[in-house]
Amino acid sequence: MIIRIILKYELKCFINYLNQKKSRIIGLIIGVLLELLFLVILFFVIPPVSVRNLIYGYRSIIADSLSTIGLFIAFFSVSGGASLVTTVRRGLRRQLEALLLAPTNPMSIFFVYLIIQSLIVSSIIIEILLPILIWILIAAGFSIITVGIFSLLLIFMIFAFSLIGAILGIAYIRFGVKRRMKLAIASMVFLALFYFMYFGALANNDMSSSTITIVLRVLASDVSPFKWIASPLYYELNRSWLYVIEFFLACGFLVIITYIPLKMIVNKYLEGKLRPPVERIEFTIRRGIIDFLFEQPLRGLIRKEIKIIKRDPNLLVSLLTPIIIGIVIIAAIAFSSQEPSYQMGRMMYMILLPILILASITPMTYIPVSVATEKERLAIYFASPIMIRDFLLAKFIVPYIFSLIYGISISCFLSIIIGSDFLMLLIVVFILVGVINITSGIGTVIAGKWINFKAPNPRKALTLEGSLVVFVTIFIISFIIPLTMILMIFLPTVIILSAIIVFVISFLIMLKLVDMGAENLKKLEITDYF
Amino acid sequence: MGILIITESFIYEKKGAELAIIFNDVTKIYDSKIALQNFSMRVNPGEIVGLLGPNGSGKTTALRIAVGLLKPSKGDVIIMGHSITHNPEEAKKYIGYVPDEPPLYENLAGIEYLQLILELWGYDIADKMNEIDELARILDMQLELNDLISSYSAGMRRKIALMAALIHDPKVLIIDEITANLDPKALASLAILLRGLKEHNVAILISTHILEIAEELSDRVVILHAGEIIWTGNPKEFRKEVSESKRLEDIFFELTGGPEVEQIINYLRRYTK
Repeated sequence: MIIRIILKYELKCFINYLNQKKSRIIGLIIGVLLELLFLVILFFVIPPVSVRNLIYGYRSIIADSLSTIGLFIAFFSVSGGASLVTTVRRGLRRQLEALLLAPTNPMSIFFVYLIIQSLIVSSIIIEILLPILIWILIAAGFSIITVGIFSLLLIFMIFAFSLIGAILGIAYIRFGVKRRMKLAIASMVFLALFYFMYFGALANNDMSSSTITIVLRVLASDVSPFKWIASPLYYELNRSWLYVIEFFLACGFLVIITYIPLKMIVNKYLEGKLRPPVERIEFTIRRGIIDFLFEQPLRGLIRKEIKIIKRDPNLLVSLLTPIIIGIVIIAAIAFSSQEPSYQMGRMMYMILLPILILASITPMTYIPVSVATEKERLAIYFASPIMIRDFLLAKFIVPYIFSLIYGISISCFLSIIIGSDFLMLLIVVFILVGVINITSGIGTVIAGKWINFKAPNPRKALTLEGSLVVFVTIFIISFIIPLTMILMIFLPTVIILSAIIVFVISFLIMLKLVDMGAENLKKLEITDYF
Repeated sequence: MGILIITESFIYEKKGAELAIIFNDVTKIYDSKIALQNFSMRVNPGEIVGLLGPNGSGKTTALRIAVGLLKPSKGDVIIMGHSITHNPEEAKKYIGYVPDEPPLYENLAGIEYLQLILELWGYDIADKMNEIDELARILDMQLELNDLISSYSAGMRRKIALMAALIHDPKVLIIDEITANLDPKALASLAILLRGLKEHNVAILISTHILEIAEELSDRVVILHAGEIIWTGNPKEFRKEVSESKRLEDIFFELTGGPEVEQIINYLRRYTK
């Protein structure tokens, strides 16, 4: 009963959301058409039967690999569920509280509500990954019934893990700032370890390779729930009772991992234990480098930015992740057991180049998100006697300085690895600073012009035009840095002169772009963001 | 030889040097809906003006235009001689604004939020610590100043917003929905504080639904209905001149319509069935 009511109103909200703008309806139609096109191409243009002879012999390997794929799907579902709930948690909490006033079992309200969140997360996996998996399994000669049962079990697993993610997201709300930061740092350490292992294995690091092998063996063993998910496929390969038991174990496992956390979260919520603890700070007036470098009000604005970054795990993670990935990849290869060689130098070059590109675009992606998180708080600045340009400058300065330090360090390291001379390094740094200047400037223009401040998730607040600008800029940047490096060999003088010109002009362009961003931001009225 | 162009708002800027707030023929249109129409009003230094009106009458729109959060479709607001549309940075220096739902940073402590506000107004918090302490004592916030705002109740949020509006010594104080989320003690303290500020020539513009508050605090009341001023005057003098028994509530209901008594009775009938 409650499912029907909640679903009905969720659907009404969605339809109202679509009806607000024609572009949303067009977007939905395009999305549905693209999905249909994808399915038609997948199943009719390249029918699975056409490659059956090629992959029929690998049926058992395909079944074995599904346990690893299952782990990744579970990981994606958990993180998707958690991020969905945490990023729009204020709205979710209000909706939940409104629903809990109804004379219904709170457990069912939570369940239905979390199911809706899971649906949103799982839709991406179900729409794209599932058809590909089904295609591979049919191509490998598995029967339609087996593939059907496996698909249902996989969908159930996606639901269950995104539900766990959503529950973890709700629990996350009760954490204080310090605990959230610890969790964010722990996640980054986990990510770092993952990359360390992966790139260590790529560089033939014995320890990393053996660890990965052990993990894969555990995942594909009979005690692994991720293997149980693939039990229908194993049953078709080898009709053993073990796989029937594993099928029921999989169902039981999914029910248990869904029910127990749900029960716990409902109890904690109703007992009022899901409120964040009162956190107290030690306030001292200290004079730091910001006070020497900047005038008021920029000084105050930058101080606030740094405080917010230090206490907002989302902003911190988006700023630190590129660095951590870069350092870990370098470390993983440096610690590998092989001696450095020409091949290794080339590999480092291939790996470090994207990191360099990532460093140069970080401000462009970070500044709009940082501005979008302000939402109704923009009123503080619009009602204060500051120039909006100062507000935007403060948003710009932190990621800009951060990217400069990071990009220049990576460039120096890259220069050592490929054994280039100082002049080459200088040119790369000139070009890099020029690129960072321009991308940061573009970031402020996007922040001022193409943000929907009413979007529940600031990370997805960019309008279509904003996303296109980001996409095109990344596309262009991806060519500029490597192209410079290649042309440096053939046309050194032209490149040196161009680098100097770009370096100088980029500062002017950057300032002009910041002004443009500020001019656009100034046009906002409170009804645009509140 | 240069050509001297004297705009209307320039004239008002010069004229308005002695006045604290001038709403000069302000109109605000959202899409095709008129929220405020030809709204003209003045507030003198040391005067408290109460803006009254039913929901959707344009009170918040008028206040938001005065602080620069909305741009007027027509007209201008002059604050201490500076146009809010043409010279906003200068005009806003004089304004302390308390919105009905204060936007705050959840991850900042109350004291850090005040530091931010002071820095926006060009002050150093070290010079204002005594004032912060005094205001915190008045509003019962001493113990919560170092707590993160995420743990604040609605009342505390409102109090920190009040402190933020007062801490930079505004010459013009604008408070939307003055009673919102404040307990009786805080409200009484605020009333005493406002009277004190009035004595020190601060111009105060408040909006409220509570007619007694408007009558008690304001030197002048402006009643808005559908974006237009329908009555303005001093409620106490009005009572003396017209009838001692006639209260502001009676004027308000006469002008904007009173409660739908018949419909209420009809609705309540279901409980007798």
